[in-house]
Amino acid sequence: MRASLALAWVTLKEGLRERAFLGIMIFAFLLLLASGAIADLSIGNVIKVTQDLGLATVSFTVLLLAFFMGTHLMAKDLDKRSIYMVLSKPIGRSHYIFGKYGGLTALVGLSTLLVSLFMLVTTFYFYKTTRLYTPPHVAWFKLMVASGFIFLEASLILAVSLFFSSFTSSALLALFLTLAVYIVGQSTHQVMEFVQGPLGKRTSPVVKALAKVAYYVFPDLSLLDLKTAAVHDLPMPPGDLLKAFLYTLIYISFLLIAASLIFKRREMK
Amino acid sequence: MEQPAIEIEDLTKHYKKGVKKKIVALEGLNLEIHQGEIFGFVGPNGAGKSTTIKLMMGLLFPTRGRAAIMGTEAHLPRARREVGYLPENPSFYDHLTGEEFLLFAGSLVGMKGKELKERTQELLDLVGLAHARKMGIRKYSKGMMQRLGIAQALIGNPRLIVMDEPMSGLDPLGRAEMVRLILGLKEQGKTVFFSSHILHDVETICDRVGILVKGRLTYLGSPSQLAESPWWVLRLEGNHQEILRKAGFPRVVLMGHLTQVEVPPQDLWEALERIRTLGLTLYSLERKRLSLEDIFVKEVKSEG
Repeated sequence: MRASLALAWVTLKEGLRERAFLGIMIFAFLLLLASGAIADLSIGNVIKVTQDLGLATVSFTVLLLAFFMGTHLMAKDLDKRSIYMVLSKPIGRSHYIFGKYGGLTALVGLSTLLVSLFMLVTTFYFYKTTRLYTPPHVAWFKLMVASGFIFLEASLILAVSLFFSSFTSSALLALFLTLAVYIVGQSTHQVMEFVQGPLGKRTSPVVKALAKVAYYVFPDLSLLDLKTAAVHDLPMPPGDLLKAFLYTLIYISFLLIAASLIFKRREMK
Repeated sequence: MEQPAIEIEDLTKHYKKGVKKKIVALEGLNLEIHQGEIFGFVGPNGAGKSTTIKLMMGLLFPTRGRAAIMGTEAHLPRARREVGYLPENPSFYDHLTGEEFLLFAGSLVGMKGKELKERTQELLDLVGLAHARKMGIRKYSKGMMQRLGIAQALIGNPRLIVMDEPMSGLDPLGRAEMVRLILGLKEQGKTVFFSSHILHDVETICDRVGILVKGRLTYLGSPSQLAESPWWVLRLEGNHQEILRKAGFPRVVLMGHLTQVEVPPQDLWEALERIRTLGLTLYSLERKRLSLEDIFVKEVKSEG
């Protein structure tokens, strides 16, 4: 446990000192600053557009970090062989996986917190300074919940990237595979709804079976997308939120256990 | 009987190349390293030295056979409680400082608090990096990295230190420092196992050496045993190459102002008699000593 914590701490430090991290964060802050100006150009409700852009920026930044750091930091360890120094100590390989995941999650969590806070500050600023015919409405708490679920989604993506990194040394391959899972995970729910709906009656049983397999194997990321509900102040039933939270937790646990089992047998050539 | 520091039995490692081909990295290695000795593992590039070390450290898994560290199977994490490992060309988390890395390495071996801080400081002083403890590792020179690697290997005060090519890339001064450090470890009663291709250092500091060629151990013994040769070396003042060759001496070379003749032990008296008859003056007579380099080259050549 202590070894995993030490590794998590070092991973967090490494991540924070990466130039890419700094670059992505600066980009996010600039994008959030510009969101008011961009929203001004829109015809609709400026505040709603600001929130939309703000949440999109949080999501984009945090996912970008998850994709990049998740695949890059472990591949770097393997490529530069700094992993030898760690695995030659009296720790199990699973400690390495859990420690690395802990550090990366802390890094992504910290960036979610910073970018979300900045998003709330900019939204508040535009909320106070923009003059509209109809008084704007902002569901502050739901915005925070949506940000929290973006973090959950990024945590899941991190687990996926670590899973792939546990058997491939190529950061690029791990990145592509993670990206593929993300794309499939975004659409499995819709595909499943389609094949089970009235339009799906004409779909072949093979395609239906494949859609079902994909739905159960790949993570259902649509469960974690609360951006629209937050911006439009739609209901967020606590039961659904809890279900999505537990689903993500279980999925992450499975991925990390699988990654540990694979990594345990991996040879460090 | 004392537990061996390292016990290797029939250790074999094959790598698959394609579907049918396999590469033999190590074949049936049997080796026992005693506690408190300095053992040098020599061999050309690709002989299987690093593979052996990685198998001992649980970084690779054997195709056949076993390795045990202080009585514990090498693949188990607890086997590494008693070992400090310095990989070849060590690489670190280069965004950390030297001190941060040592604190991290210490926490991996279960150290904490004051004990860890003190040990870190002690090791930084020992390896001469106290002045650079707050410096980012990416700014470290090759020699500094090697020294930091040694420090992290020693952090848990292990009884066995395994080093893969610790002298590689070091300048003569750095090598001398490394030799001093290894000898210091032996004085503390620690066992040191290291691989090297710098034969002079191995010859100087090792209690025993093993020569590995193409994955097979071709020699195991003390460097002095290895260097012993039954041949005699006779040195004569002046250049007498022609005369001596004509007199039937096959091994004659000119070394500065001396002519050197090598003779097998059974011919020694006859050779001395012939030299006396030729009217030549004997400068010195001594037993020939082979350098580890000579033997190494011989072993490599004989393995084809």
